[in-house]
Amino acid sequence: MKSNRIQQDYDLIRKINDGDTSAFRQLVYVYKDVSLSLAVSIIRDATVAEDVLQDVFIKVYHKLHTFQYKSSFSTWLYRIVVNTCYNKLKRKKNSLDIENTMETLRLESPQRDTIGEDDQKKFINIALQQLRPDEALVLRLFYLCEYKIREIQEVTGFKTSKIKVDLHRGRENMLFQLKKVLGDDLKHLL
Amino acid sequence: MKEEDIKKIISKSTVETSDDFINNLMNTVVAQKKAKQKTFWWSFPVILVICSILTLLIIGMFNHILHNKLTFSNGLVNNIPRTPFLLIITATILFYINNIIRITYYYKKNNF
Repeated sequence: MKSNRIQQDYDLIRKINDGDTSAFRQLVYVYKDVSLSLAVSIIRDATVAEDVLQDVFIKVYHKLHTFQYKSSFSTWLYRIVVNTCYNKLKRKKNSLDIENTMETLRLESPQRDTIGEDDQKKFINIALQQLRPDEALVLRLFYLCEYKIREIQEVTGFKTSKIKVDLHRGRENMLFQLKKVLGDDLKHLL
Repeated sequence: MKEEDIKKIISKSTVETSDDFINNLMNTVVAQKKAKQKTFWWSFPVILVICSILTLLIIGMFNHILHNKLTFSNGLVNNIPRTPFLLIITATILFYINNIIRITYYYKKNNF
């Protein structure tokens, strides 16, 4: 399944390098949401993250001829996403008050009987936004992208030990945040 | 909580892009592509003019050297074939100009 996707990506990249713009549209369609999720893990603000992602995809389009076909396209793309987002975060650290951003994302009390799909998504995302960017990023790469530690290392440049610690802490902290709001209703998320 | 449960939870954390994300992106990409193509093709007439001027200058220079300055000798100079020299120099200049265009084009492309 994974190797099939890799091959499909390679075919699309060859078409793009031959000037087929619609192939680029297909490639973006496949990766846009996961890329945005990773960007949000770091930047935390979805609007800013989407702007950054636009820049990332434009950069990818222009740099695609340098892609070596040695690793999977997703790893290559996510590395660009992660690097661009960390650079953006560094530049914005002085101007973006993360605490204030977090304040606006205060968890609301959910309806206790059932939790709708949209609400579930909202609670999980807000819980992830309460984590440190590294933790949220590693969690998403591990569980959402189903990456192995080695692949996460390739994307983030973190050491193996750091990835393992971030994974452990990220899991604990996310569950803590979710339990704080949902209590026993946490099972509704499963 | 089990690993599968955490996986289930995080799989619901996908953040979706806005509806016009792809269209905005593709519009930008297509516009930039067109602008680049335009720049690239527009550079050809300029190069053509420069090449023509250079070629004329080289031909003029050779004529001047081989006919006016060196004709005092015993006629040996007049027997030197001029066409191969002209061809080699012109081809070399065109080769370098071609490389300059390519380098400029790829530089612009890579340093977008």
